[in-house]
Amino acid sequence: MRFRETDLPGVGKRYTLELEDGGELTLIIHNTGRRELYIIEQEEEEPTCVISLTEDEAKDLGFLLAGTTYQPVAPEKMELIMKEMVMEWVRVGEGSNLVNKTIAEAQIRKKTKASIVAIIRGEDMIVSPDPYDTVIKPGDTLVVVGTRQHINSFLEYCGECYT
Amino acid sequence: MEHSLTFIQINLLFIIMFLSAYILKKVRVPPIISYLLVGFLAKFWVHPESTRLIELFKEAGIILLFFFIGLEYSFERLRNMVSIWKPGVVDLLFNFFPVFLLSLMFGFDPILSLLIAGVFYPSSTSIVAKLLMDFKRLASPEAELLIGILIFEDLVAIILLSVLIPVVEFGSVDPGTLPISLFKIVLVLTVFYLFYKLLMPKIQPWLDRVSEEESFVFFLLGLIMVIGVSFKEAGLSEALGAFLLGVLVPETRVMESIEHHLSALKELSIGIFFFFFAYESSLSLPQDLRFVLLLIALGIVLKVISTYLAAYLYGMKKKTRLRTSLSFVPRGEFSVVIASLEPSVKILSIPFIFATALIGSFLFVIAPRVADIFYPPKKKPPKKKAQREPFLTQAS
Repeated sequence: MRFRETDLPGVGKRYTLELEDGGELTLIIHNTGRRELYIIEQEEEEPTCVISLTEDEAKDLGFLLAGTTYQPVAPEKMELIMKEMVMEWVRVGEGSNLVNKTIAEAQIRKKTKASIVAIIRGEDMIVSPDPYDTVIKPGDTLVVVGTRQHINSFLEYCGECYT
Repeated sequence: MEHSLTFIQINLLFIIMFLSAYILKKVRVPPIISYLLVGFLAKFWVHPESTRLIELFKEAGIILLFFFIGLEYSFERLRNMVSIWKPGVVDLLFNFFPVFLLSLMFGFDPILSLLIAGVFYPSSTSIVAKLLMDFKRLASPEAELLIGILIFEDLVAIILLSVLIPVVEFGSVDPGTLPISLFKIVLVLTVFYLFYKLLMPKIQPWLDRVSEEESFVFFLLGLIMVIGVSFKEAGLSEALGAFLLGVLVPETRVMESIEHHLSALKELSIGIFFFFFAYESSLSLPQDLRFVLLLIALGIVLKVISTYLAAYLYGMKKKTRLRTSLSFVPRGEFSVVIASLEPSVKILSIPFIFATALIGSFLFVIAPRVADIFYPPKKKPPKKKAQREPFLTQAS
Protein backbone atom coordinates (compact mmCIF):
# COMPACT_ATOMS: atom_id res chain seq x y z
CA MET A 1 0.00 0.00 0.00
CA ARG A 2 1.71 3.15 -1.19
CA PHE A 3 -0.08 6.46 -1.37
CA ARG A 4 1.31 9.26 -3.48
CA GLU A 5 -0.12 12.65 -2.65
CA THR A 6 0.10 15.48 -5.15
CA ASP A 7 -1.24 18.97 -5.07
CA LEU A 8 -3.26 20.19 -8.00
CA PRO A 9 -3.47 23.88 -7.14
CA GLY A 10 -6.75 25.41 -8.16
CA VAL A 11 -8.31 21.97 -8.57
CA GLY A 12 -7.74 20.06 -5.36
CA LYS A 13 -5.66 17.16 -4.10
CA ARG A 14 -4.78 13.91 -5.79
CA TYR A 15 -3.98 10.62 -4.09
CA THR A 16 -2.66 7.70 -6.08
CA LEU A 17 -2.76 4.20 -4.68
CA GLU A 18 -0.89 1.35 -6.33
CA LEU A 19 -3.01 -1.76 -6.17
CA GLU A 20 -1.79 -5.31 -5.72
CA ASP A 21 -2.83 -6.36 -9.20
CA GLY A 22 -0.58 -3.73 -10.74
CA GLY A 23 -3.35 -1.26 -11.44
CA GLU A 24 -3.73 2.18 -9.96
CA LEU A 25 -6.53 3.80 -8.07
CA THR A 26 -6.53 7.58 -8.09
CA LEU A 27 -8.68 9.67 -5.84
CA ILE A 28 -9.16 13.34 -6.59
CA ILE A 29 -10.69 15.53 -3.94
CA HIS A 30 -11.85 18.69 -5.65
CA ASN A 31 -11.88 21.99 -3.83
CA THR A 32 -15.62 21.98 -4.40
CA GLY A 33 -15.91 18.85 -2.26
CA ARG A 34 -16.65 16.55 -5.17
CA ARG A 35 -14.63 13.31 -5.23
CA GLU A 36 -13.58 11.37 -8.27
CA LEU A 37 -12.21 7.84 -8.27
CA TYR A 38 -10.23 6.69 -11.28
CA ILE A 39 -9.40 3.06 -11.84
CA ILE A 40 -6.49 2.61 -14.23
CA GLU A 41 -5.56 -0.96 -15.03
CA GLN A 42 -2.03 -2.22 -15.49
CA GLU A 43 -0.32 -1.11 -18.71
CA GLU A 44 -3.30 1.10 -19.53
CA GLU A 45 -3.21 4.82 -20.22
CA GLU A 46 -6.88 5.58 -20.04
CA PRO A 47 -8.95 5.04 -16.92
CA THR A 48 -11.18 1.99 -17.17
CA CYS A 49 -13.79 3.75 -15.14
CA VAL A 50 -14.36 7.00 -13.33
CA ILE A 51 -16.69 7.33 -10.37
CA SER A 52 -17.86 10.74 -9.33
CA LEU A 53 -19.29 11.28 -5.85
CA THR A 54 -20.64 14.18 -3.85
CA GLU A 55 -19.03 14.89 -0.51
CA ASP A 56 -21.80 13.14 1.42
CA GLU A 57 -21.83 10.10 -0.82
CA ALA A 58 -18.06 9.84 -0.47
CA LYS A 59 -18.26 9.95 3.31
CA ASP A 60 -20.93 7.23 3.43
CA LEU A 61 -18.92 5.08 1.05
CA GLY A 62 -15.83 5.66 3.15
CA PHE A 63 -17.56 4.27 6.22
CA LEU A 64 -18.71 1.25 4.26
CA LEU A 65 -15.25 0.64 2.84
CA ALA A 66 -13.71 0.87 6.28
CA GLY A 67 -16.29 -1.61 7.52
CA THR A 68 -17.42 0.65 10.32
CA THR A 69 -21.02 1.10 9.29
CA TYR A 70 -23.53 -0.29 11.70
CA GLN A 71 -27.13 0.08 10.78
CA PRO A 72 -29.56 -0.63 13.60
CA VAL A 73 -32.20 -3.06 12.41
CA ALA A 74 -35.87 -2.38 12.81
CA PRO A 75 -36.76 -5.30 15.10
CA GLU A 76 -40.39 -5.63 14.08
CA LYS A 77 -39.46 -6.19 10.46
CA MET A 78 -36.28 -7.73 9.18
CA GLU A 79 -35.91 -9.76 6.08
CA LEU A 80 -32.86 -11.85 5.61
CA ILE A 81 -32.79 -12.75 2.02
CA MET A 82 -30.49 -15.64 1.44
CA LYS A 83 -31.34 -16.62 -2.10
CA GLU A 84 -34.83 -17.88 -1.49
CA MET A 85 -35.29 -17.96 2.24
CA VAL A 86 -37.28 -15.28 3.97
CA MET A 87 -37.53 -14.73 7.68
CA GLU A 88 -40.63 -12.96 8.87
CA TRP A 89 -41.65 -11.71 12.32
CA VAL A 90 -45.36 -12.37 12.71
CA ARG A 91 -47.45 -11.09 15.59
CA VAL A 92 -50.39 -13.28 16.58
CA GLY A 93 -53.65 -11.39 17.07
CA GLU A 94 -56.55 -12.24 19.42
CA GLY A 95 -58.68 -13.76 16.67
CA SER A 96 -55.99 -15.81 14.98
CA ASN A 97 -56.61 -19.42 13.98
CA LEU A 98 -53.43 -20.44 15.81
CA VAL A 99 -54.36 -19.17 19.26
CA ASN A 100 -54.18 -21.81 22.00
CA LYS A 101 -52.93 -24.52 19.64
CA THR A 102 -49.59 -26.21 19.60
CA ILE A 103 -47.58 -26.05 16.40
CA ALA A 104 -48.33 -29.71 15.71
CA GLU A 105 -52.07 -29.29 16.28
CA ALA A 106 -52.19 -26.43 13.88
CA GLN A 107 -50.33 -28.54 11.28
CA ILE A 108 -48.43 -25.50 10.21
CA ARG A 109 -45.71 -27.34 8.24
CA LYS A 110 -48.22 -29.44 6.41
CA LYS A 111 -50.64 -26.69 5.52
CA THR A 112 -48.30 -23.81 4.72
CA LYS A 113 -44.80 -25.30 4.28
CA ALA A 114 -43.43 -22.56 6.54
CA SER A 115 -41.72 -23.36 9.83
CA ILE A 116 -41.73 -21.54 13.12
CA VAL A 117 -38.14 -21.35 14.28
CA ALA A 118 -38.67 -19.17 17.35
CA ILE A 119 -41.35 -17.53 19.45
CA ILE A 120 -40.82 -14.18 21.14
CA ARG A 121 -43.05 -13.86 24.18
CA GLY A 122 -42.61 -10.66 26.14
CA GLU A 123 -39.00 -10.60 27.27
CA ASP A 124 -38.43 -14.27 26.54
CA MET A 125 -37.46 -16.00 23.40
CA ILE A 126 -38.23 -19.65 22.79
CA VAL A 127 -35.78 -20.88 20.19
CA SER A 128 -36.82 -23.95 18.15
CA PRO A 129 -40.06 -24.46 20.06
CA ASP A 130 -41.22 -28.05 20.63
CA PRO A 131 -44.12 -28.60 18.18
CA TYR A 132 -46.03 -30.78 20.67
CA ASP A 133 -45.50 -28.69 23.81
CA THR A 134 -45.45 -25.07 22.89
CA VAL A 135 -48.86 -23.43 22.81
CA ILE A 136 -49.24 -20.29 20.72
CA LYS A 137 -50.72 -17.38 22.66
CA PRO A 138 -52.19 -14.08 21.45
CA GLY A 139 -49.47 -11.38 21.45
CA ASP A 140 -46.71 -13.85 20.58
CA THR A 141 -44.32 -12.91 17.85
CA LEU A 142 -43.49 -15.90 15.69
CA VAL A 143 -40.29 -16.04 13.73
CA VAL A 144 -41.29 -17.86 10.56
CA VAL A 145 -38.99 -19.17 7.85
CA GLY A 146 -39.85 -20.15 4.31
CA THR A 147 -40.04 -18.82 0.79
CA ARG A 148 -42.06 -15.70 0.16
CA GLN A 149 -44.88 -17.92 -1.02
CA HIS A 150 -44.78 -20.11 2.09
CA ILE A 151 -44.88 -17.06 4.31
CA ASN A 152 -47.84 -15.65 2.41
CA SER A 153 -49.85 -18.82 2.79
CA PHE A 154 -48.85 -18.93 6.46
CA LEU A 155 -50.22 -15.44 6.98
CA GLU A 156 -53.43 -16.40 5.23
CA TYR A 157 -53.79 -19.49 7.38
CA CYS A 158 -52.90 -17.62 10.56
CA GLY A 159 -55.84 -15.26 10.09
CA GLU A 160 -55.51 -12.25 12.35
CA CYS A 161 -51.75 -11.89 12.20
CA TYR A 162 -49.54 -8.91 11.59
CA THR A 163 -46.08 -8.58 10.15
CA MET B 1 -38.19 55.41 -17.34
CA GLU B 2 -34.85 55.93 -19.10
CA HIS B 3 -33.07 54.55 -16.10
CA SER B 4 -35.14 51.40 -15.83
CA LEU B 5 -34.57 50.72 -19.53
CA THR B 6 -30.82 50.76 -19.13
CA PHE B 7 -31.31 48.61 -16.09
CA ILE B 8 -33.28 46.03 -18.00
CA GLN B 9 -30.76 46.13 -20.81
CA ILE B 10 -27.87 45.29 -18.48
CA ASN B 11 -29.69 42.49 -16.76
CA LEU B 12 -30.80 41.01 -20.06
CA LEU B 13 -27.14 41.11 -20.94
CA PHE B 14 -26.36 38.98 -17.90
CA ILE B 15 -28.89 36.39 -19.03
CA ILE B 16 -27.41 36.42 -22.52
CA MET B 17 -23.94 35.92 -21.01
CA PHE B 18 -25.22 32.80 -19.31
CA LEU B 19 -27.07 31.47 -22.34
CA SER B 20 -24.15 31.92 -24.69
CA ALA B 21 -21.71 30.30 -22.28
CA TYR B 22 -24.13 27.46 -21.67
CA ILE B 23 -24.97 26.78 -25.30
CA LEU B 24 -21.43 27.17 -26.62
CA LYS B 25 -20.14 24.88 -23.90
CA LYS B 26 -22.05 22.10 -25.65
CA VAL B 27 -19.66 22.44 -28.58
CA ARG B 28 -16.60 22.76 -26.33
CA VAL B 29 -16.16 26.50 -26.66
CA PRO B 30 -14.57 27.82 -23.46
CA PRO B 31 -16.64 30.36 -21.48
CA ILE B 32 -14.05 33.12 -21.94
CA ILE B 33 -14.63 32.97 -25.71
CA SER B 34 -18.40 33.19 -25.28
CA TYR B 35 -18.05 36.26 -23.03
CA LEU B 36 -15.85 37.94 -25.62
CA LEU B 37 -18.36 37.12 -28.34
CA VAL B 38 -21.20 38.62 -26.33
CA GLY B 39 -19.01 41.70 -25.87
CA PHE B 40 -18.58 42.14 -29.61
CA LEU B 41 -22.26 41.61 -30.33
CA ALA B 42 -23.30 43.98 -27.56
CA LYS B 43 -21.66 46.84 -29.49
CA PHE B 44 -24.75 46.82 -31.70
CA TRP B 45 -27.45 47.11 -29.08
CA VAL B 46 -26.10 48.04 -25.66
CA HIS B 47 -25.72 51.74 -25.06
CA PRO B 48 -22.38 52.75 -23.50
CA GLU B 49 -24.36 54.69 -20.89
CA SER B 50 -25.93 51.43 -19.66
CA THR B 51 -22.62 49.74 -19.11
CA ARG B 52 -21.61 52.37 -16.55
CA LEU B 53 -23.77 50.44 -14.10
CA ILE B 54 -21.37 47.51 -14.09
CA GLU B 55 -18.02 49.29 -14.22
CA LEU B 56 -17.32 48.24 -10.64
CA PHE B 57 -17.30 44.59 -11.70
CA LYS B 58 -14.99 45.35 -14.58
CA GLU B 59 -12.49 46.87 -12.14
CA ALA B 60 -12.97 43.95 -9.78
CA GLY B 61 -12.37 41.33 -12.48
CA ILE B 62 -8.57 41.37 -12.66
CA ILE B 63 -8.22 42.08 -8.95
CA LEU B 64 -10.35 39.12 -7.89
CA LEU B 65 -8.75 36.84 -10.47
CA PHE B 66 -5.30 37.47 -9.04
CA PHE B 67 -6.52 37.40 -5.47
CA PHE B 68 -7.81 33.87 -6.08
CA ILE B 69 -4.51 32.85 -7.67
CA GLY B 70 -2.81 34.16 -4.52
CA LEU B 71 -5.15 32.07 -2.37
CA GLU B 72 -3.90 28.94 -4.10
CA TYR B 73 -0.34 29.76 -3.11
CA SER B 74 1.35 29.33 0.18
CA PHE B 75 5.02 29.42 1.09
CA GLU B 76 5.03 25.66 1.56
CA ARG B 77 3.58 25.21 -1.87
CA LEU B 78 6.20 27.39 -3.47
CA ARG B 79 8.84 25.15 -1.94
CA ASN B 80 7.20 22.11 -3.56
CA MET B 81 7.56 23.73 -6.95
CA VAL B 82 11.23 22.84 -7.28
CA SER B 83 10.43 19.97 -9.63
CA ILE B 84 8.56 22.29 -11.95
CA TRP B 85 11.11 25.01 -12.49
CA LYS B 86 12.92 23.32 -15.40
CA PRO B 87 9.76 22.66 -17.44
CA GLY B 88 8.60 26.16 -16.50
CA VAL B 89 11.78 27.77 -17.78
CA VAL B 90 11.63 25.79 -21.04
CA ASP B 91 8.07 26.99 -21.52
CA LEU B 92 9.20 30.59 -20.95
CA LEU B 93 12.24 30.37 -23.23
CA PHE B 94 10.25 28.97 -26.14
CA ASN B 95 7.13 31.07 -25.85
CA PHE B 96 8.35 34.48 -24.76
CA PHE B 97 11.69 35.46 -26.28
CA PRO B 98 11.25 34.28 -29.89
CA VAL B 99 8.03 36.26 -30.22
CA PHE B 100 9.62 39.31 -28.59
CA LEU B 101 12.38 39.22 -31.23
CA LEU B 102 9.91 38.53 -34.02
CA SER B 103 7.83 41.56 -33.01
CA LEU B 104 10.94 43.76 -33.06
CA MET B 105 11.73 42.46 -36.55
CA PHE B 106 8.23 43.36 -37.69
CA GLY B 107 8.91 46.94 -36.60
CA PHE B 108 7.14 47.12 -33.22
CA ASP B 109 8.86 49.16 -30.54
CA PRO B 110 10.34 47.34 -27.52
CA ILE B 111 7.39 48.04 -25.22
CA LEU B 112 4.81 46.76 -27.71
CA SER B 113 7.02 43.76 -28.41
CA LEU B 114 7.14 42.98 -24.71
CA LEU B 115 3.36 43.19 -24.54
CA ILE B 116 2.89 40.96 -27.60
CA ALA B 117 5.25 38.38 -26.12
CA GLY B 118 3.29 38.67 -22.87
CA VAL B 119 0.04 37.91 -24.70
CA PHE B 120 1.67 35.06 -26.58
CA TYR B 121 3.34 33.33 -23.65
CA PRO B 122 0.89 32.09 -20.99
CA SER B 123 -1.53 29.22 -21.53
CA SER B 124 -4.97 29.57 -20.05
CA THR B 125 -5.22 28.21 -16.53
CA SER B 126 -8.99 28.18 -16.57
CA ILE B 127 -9.37 26.50 -19.96
CA VAL B 128 -6.72 23.81 -19.43
CA ALA B 129 -7.81 23.00 -15.89
CA LYS B 130 -11.45 22.77 -16.97
CA LEU B 131 -10.60 20.52 -19.91
CA LEU B 132 -8.57 18.21 -17.67
CA MET B 133 -11.60 17.90 -15.42
CA ASP B 134 -14.18 17.49 -18.18
CA PHE B 135 -12.21 14.86 -20.05
CA LYS B 136 -11.33 12.88 -16.95
CA ARG B 137 -7.62 13.37 -17.35
CA LEU B 138 -6.85 14.64 -13.86
CA ALA B 139 -5.53 11.22 -12.89
CA SER B 140 -3.12 11.14 -15.81
CA PRO B 141 0.58 11.87 -15.28
CA GLU B 142 0.36 15.05 -17.39
CA ALA B 143 -2.17 16.74 -15.09
CA GLU B 144 0.49 17.36 -12.48
CA LEU B 145 2.97 18.78 -15.00
CA LEU B 146 0.48 20.99 -16.83
CA ILE B 147 -0.95 22.46 -13.65
CA GLY B 148 2.60 22.96 -12.42
CA ILE B 149 3.60 24.91 -15.52
CA LEU B 150 0.39 26.92 -15.31
CA ILE B 151 1.32 27.99 -11.79
CA PHE B 152 4.81 28.91 -12.95
CA GLU B 153 3.24 30.97 -15.73
CA ASP B 154 0.94 32.66 -13.22
CA LEU B 155 3.97 33.86 -11.30
CA VAL B 156 5.76 35.04 -14.43
CA ALA B 157 2.59 36.81 -15.57
CA ILE B 158 2.36 38.66 -12.27
CA ILE B 159 5.99 39.74 -12.50
CA LEU B 160 5.42 40.75 -16.13
CA LEU B 161 2.40 42.84 -15.22
CA SER B 162 4.28 44.47 -12.36
CA VAL B 163 7.01 45.48 -14.80
CA LEU B 164 4.84 46.28 -17.81
CA ILE B 165 2.25 48.48 -16.15
CA PRO B 166 4.65 51.23 -15.04
CA VAL B 167 6.46 50.97 -18.37
CA VAL B 168 3.23 51.35 -20.34
CA GLU B 169 2.19 54.23 -18.05
CA PHE B 170 5.32 56.25 -18.84
CA GLY B 171 5.33 55.15 -22.45
CA SER B 172 9.03 54.53 -22.52
CA VAL B 173 11.69 52.54 -20.79
CA ASP B 174 13.10 55.57 -19.04
CA PRO B 175 16.24 54.51 -17.14
CA GLY B 176 15.25 57.01 -14.45
CA THR B 177 11.94 55.34 -13.59
CA LEU B 178 13.25 51.79 -13.43
CA PRO B 179 15.08 52.05 -10.09
CA ILE B 180 12.05 53.76 -8.58
CA SER B 181 9.76 50.96 -9.71
CA LEU B 182 12.18 48.36 -8.43
CA PHE B 183 12.47 50.17 -5.13
CA LYS B 184 8.67 50.24 -4.82
CA ILE B 185 8.40 46.51 -5.48
CA VAL B 186 11.12 45.67 -2.96
CA LEU B 187 9.43 47.91 -0.41
CA VAL B 188 6.05 46.25 -0.98
CA LEU B 189 7.55 42.78 -0.70
CA THR B 190 9.32 43.71 2.55
CA VAL B 191 6.15 45.12 4.08
CA PHE B 192 4.28 42.06 2.92
CA TYR B 193 6.82 39.68 4.44
CA LEU B 194 6.86 41.50 7.78
CA PHE B 195 3.10 41.42 7.81
CA TYR B 196 3.10 37.71 7.10
CA LYS B 197 5.68 36.92 9.77
CA LEU B 198 4.74 39.28 12.58
CA LEU B 199 1.12 40.32 12.28
CA MET B 200 -0.65 37.45 10.60
CA PRO B 201 -0.25 34.90 13.42
CA LYS B 202 -1.69 37.49 15.84
CA ILE B 203 -4.80 38.38 13.85
CA GLN B 204 -5.52 34.93 12.46
CA PRO B 205 -7.87 33.82 15.28
CA TRP B 206 -9.79 37.08 14.91
CA LEU B 207 -10.02 36.54 11.14
CA ASP B 208 -11.37 33.03 11.62
CA ARG B 209 -14.00 34.33 14.01
CA VAL B 210 -15.06 37.28 11.92
CA SER B 211 -15.22 35.24 8.72
CA GLU B 212 -18.35 33.57 10.04
CA GLU B 213 -20.28 36.85 9.91
CA GLU B 214 -22.74 37.47 7.08
CA SER B 215 -21.34 40.97 6.64
CA PHE B 216 -17.80 39.66 6.17
CA VAL B 217 -18.18 39.89 2.40
CA PHE B 218 -18.29 43.71 2.63
CA PHE B 219 -15.00 43.89 4.47
CA LEU B 220 -13.45 41.37 2.10
CA LEU B 221 -14.45 43.00 -1.14
CA GLY B 222 -13.69 46.49 0.18
CA LEU B 223 -10.23 45.52 1.37
CA ILE B 224 -9.26 43.65 -1.78
CA MET B 225 -10.45 46.46 -4.04
CA VAL B 226 -8.77 49.18 -1.98
CA ILE B 227 -5.45 47.31 -2.02
CA GLY B 228 -5.74 46.60 -5.73
CA VAL B 229 -6.60 50.13 -6.72
CA SER B 230 -3.96 51.66 -4.43
CA PHE B 231 -1.32 49.51 -6.07
CA LYS B 232 -2.49 50.72 -9.43
CA GLU B 233 -2.33 54.34 -8.30
CA ALA B 234 1.17 53.79 -6.93
CA GLY B 235 2.29 52.77 -10.41
CA LEU B 236 2.51 49.11 -9.51
CA SER B 237 0.17 46.47 -10.81
CA GLU B 238 -3.16 45.79 -9.15
CA ALA B 239 -2.54 42.14 -10.00
CA LEU B 240 0.49 42.14 -7.70
CA GLY B 241 -1.41 43.71 -4.81
CA ALA B 242 -4.33 41.33 -5.07
CA PHE B 243 -2.03 38.35 -5.47
CA LEU B 244 0.02 39.21 -2.38
CA LEU B 245 -3.13 39.71 -0.37
CA GLY B 246 -4.30 36.28 -1.46
CA VAL B 247 -1.00 34.69 -0.40
CA LEU B 248 -1.39 36.27 3.05
CA VAL B 249 -4.64 34.47 3.76
CA PRO B 250 -3.89 31.62 6.15
CA GLU B 251 -5.11 28.16 5.21
CA THR B 252 -7.65 27.99 7.98
CA ARG B 253 -11.38 28.50 8.26
CA VAL B 254 -11.12 32.02 6.90
CA MET B 255 -9.87 30.61 3.59
CA GLU B 256 -12.95 28.44 3.10
CA SER B 257 -15.17 31.29 4.09
CA ILE B 258 -13.52 33.62 1.57
CA GLU B 259 -13.87 31.11 -1.23
CA HIS B 260 -17.48 30.61 -0.31
CA HIS B 261 -18.22 34.35 -0.18
CA LEU B 262 -16.33 35.47 -3.24
CA SER B 263 -16.22 32.74 -5.84
CA ALA B 264 -19.54 33.67 -7.45
CA LEU B 265 -18.52 37.33 -7.41
CA LYS B 266 -15.23 36.44 -9.05
CA GLU B 267 -16.97 34.50 -11.86
CA LEU B 268 -19.27 37.45 -12.46
CA SER B 269 -16.52 40.07 -12.40
CA ILE B 270 -14.07 38.24 -14.60
CA GLY B 271 -16.87 37.49 -17.09
CA ILE B 272 -17.77 41.17 -17.18
CA PHE B 273 -14.10 42.09 -17.56
CA PHE B 274 -13.88 39.87 -20.67
CA PHE B 275 -17.12 41.34 -21.93
CA PHE B 276 -15.74 44.88 -21.66
CA PHE B 277 -12.49 43.84 -23.26
CA ALA B 278 -14.42 42.98 -26.42
CA TYR B 279 -17.10 45.66 -26.05
CA GLU B 280 -14.53 48.45 -25.87
CA SER B 281 -12.31 47.28 -28.69
CA SER B 282 -12.63 48.62 -32.20
CA LEU B 283 -13.87 46.16 -34.77
CA SER B 284 -11.10 46.90 -37.20
CA LEU B 285 -8.90 44.26 -38.73
CA PRO B 286 -5.29 44.27 -37.57
CA GLN B 287 -2.93 46.21 -39.85
CA ASP B 288 -0.65 43.34 -40.53
CA LEU B 289 -2.63 40.16 -41.14
CA ARG B 290 0.49 38.20 -42.05
CA PHE B 291 1.93 38.93 -38.64
CA VAL B 292 -1.23 37.79 -36.87
CA LEU B 293 -1.41 34.54 -38.84
CA LEU B 294 2.25 33.93 -38.10
CA LEU B 295 1.57 34.52 -34.39
CA ILE B 296 -1.26 31.99 -34.43
CA ALA B 297 0.82 29.36 -36.21
CA LEU B 298 3.76 29.92 -33.87
CA GLY B 299 1.41 29.98 -30.90
CA ILE B 300 0.48 26.41 -31.69
CA VAL B 301 3.85 25.07 -32.89
CA LEU B 302 6.07 26.60 -30.20
CA LYS B 303 3.74 25.57 -27.38
CA VAL B 304 3.61 22.00 -28.66
CA ILE B 305 7.41 21.78 -28.92
CA SER B 306 8.09 23.40 -25.56
CA THR B 307 5.50 21.26 -23.76
CA TYR B 308 6.96 18.12 -25.36
CA LEU B 309 10.39 19.09 -24.05
CA ALA B 310 8.95 19.95 -20.64
CA ALA B 311 7.33 16.50 -20.48
CA TYR B 312 10.66 14.94 -21.47
CA LEU B 313 12.43 16.82 -18.67
CA TYR B 314 9.72 15.67 -16.32
CA GLY B 315 10.61 12.07 -17.16
CA MET B 316 7.50 11.00 -19.01
CA LYS B 317 7.10 8.13 -21.47
CA LYS B 318 7.05 8.96 -25.19
CA LYS B 319 3.35 8.44 -25.58
CA THR B 320 2.50 10.63 -22.59
CA ARG B 321 4.86 13.32 -23.88
CA LEU B 322 2.99 13.46 -27.15
CA ARG B 323 -0.38 13.62 -25.45
CA THR B 324 0.84 16.30 -23.07
CA SER B 325 2.35 18.43 -25.83
CA LEU B 326 -0.98 18.70 -27.64
CA SER B 327 -2.86 19.66 -24.49
CA PHE B 328 -1.41 23.04 -23.63
CA VAL B 329 -2.14 25.33 -26.57
CA PRO B 330 -5.21 27.28 -25.34
CA ARG B 331 -4.53 30.90 -24.39
CA GLY B 332 -7.05 32.82 -22.36
CA GLU B 333 -7.43 35.08 -19.38
CA PHE B 334 -3.81 36.23 -18.98
CA SER B 335 -3.47 37.08 -22.62
CA VAL B 336 -6.61 39.17 -22.29
CA VAL B 337 -5.33 40.91 -19.16
CA ILE B 338 -2.00 41.80 -20.78
CA ALA B 339 -3.61 42.78 -24.08
CA SER B 340 -5.99 45.13 -22.26
CA LEU B 341 -3.06 47.41 -21.37
CA GLU B 342 -2.66 48.71 -24.91
CA PRO B 343 -5.31 49.21 -27.63
CA SER B 344 -3.02 48.49 -30.57
CA VAL B 345 -1.92 45.19 -29.03
CA LYS B 346 -5.55 44.38 -28.33
CA ILE B 347 -6.47 44.35 -32.00
CA LEU B 348 -3.68 41.87 -32.72
CA SER B 349 -4.50 39.77 -29.69
CA ILE B 350 -8.19 39.18 -30.27
CA PRO B 351 -7.81 36.89 -33.29
CA PHE B 352 -4.80 35.25 -31.66
CA ILE B 353 -6.68 34.48 -28.42
CA PHE B 354 -9.76 33.25 -30.28
CA ALA B 355 -7.78 30.97 -32.56
CA THR B 356 -5.51 29.48 -29.91
CA ALA B 357 -8.34 28.98 -27.43
CA LEU B 358 -10.51 27.15 -29.96
CA ILE B 359 -7.80 25.22 -31.80
CA GLY B 360 -6.12 24.48 -28.47
CA SER B 361 -9.32 23.06 -27.01
CA PHE B 362 -9.74 20.92 -30.10
CA LEU B 363 -6.16 19.64 -29.89
CA PHE B 364 -6.66 18.85 -26.22
CA VAL B 365 -9.67 16.69 -27.06
CA ILE B 366 -7.98 14.75 -29.85
CA ALA B 367 -4.61 14.42 -28.07
CA PRO B 368 -5.29 10.95 -26.58
CA ARG B 369 -6.45 9.65 -29.95
CA VAL B 370 -3.42 11.06 -31.74
CA ALA B 371 -1.19 9.44 -29.13
CA ASP B 372 -2.99 6.13 -29.73
CA ILE B 373 -2.35 6.40 -33.48
CA PHE B 374 1.38 6.99 -33.02
CA TYR B 375 1.79 4.50 -30.22
CA PRO B 376 -0.97 1.91 -30.59
CA PRO B 377 -2.05 0.40 -27.29
CA LYS B 378 -1.00 -3.21 -26.79
CA LYS B 379 -3.73 -5.57 -27.87
CA LYS B 380 -5.40 -7.02 -24.85
CA PRO B 381 -8.27 -9.46 -24.74
CA PRO B 382 -11.19 -7.44 -26.04
CA LYS B 383 -12.72 -5.37 -23.35
CA LYS B 384 -15.25 -2.62 -23.48
CA LYS B 385 -13.37 0.63 -23.77
CA ALA B 386 -14.89 3.60 -22.09
CA GLN B 387 -16.55 5.78 -24.69
CA ARG B 388 -14.95 9.16 -24.95
CA GLU B 389 -17.17 12.11 -25.55
CA PRO B 390 -17.40 12.95 -29.21
CA PHE B 391 -16.13 16.36 -30.24
CA LEU B 392 -18.61 18.84 -31.70
CA THR B 393 -21.36 16.27 -32.01
CA GLN B 394 -22.96 16.32 -28.65
CA ALA B 395 -26.65 15.72 -28.62
CA SER B 396 -27.91 17.97 -25.89
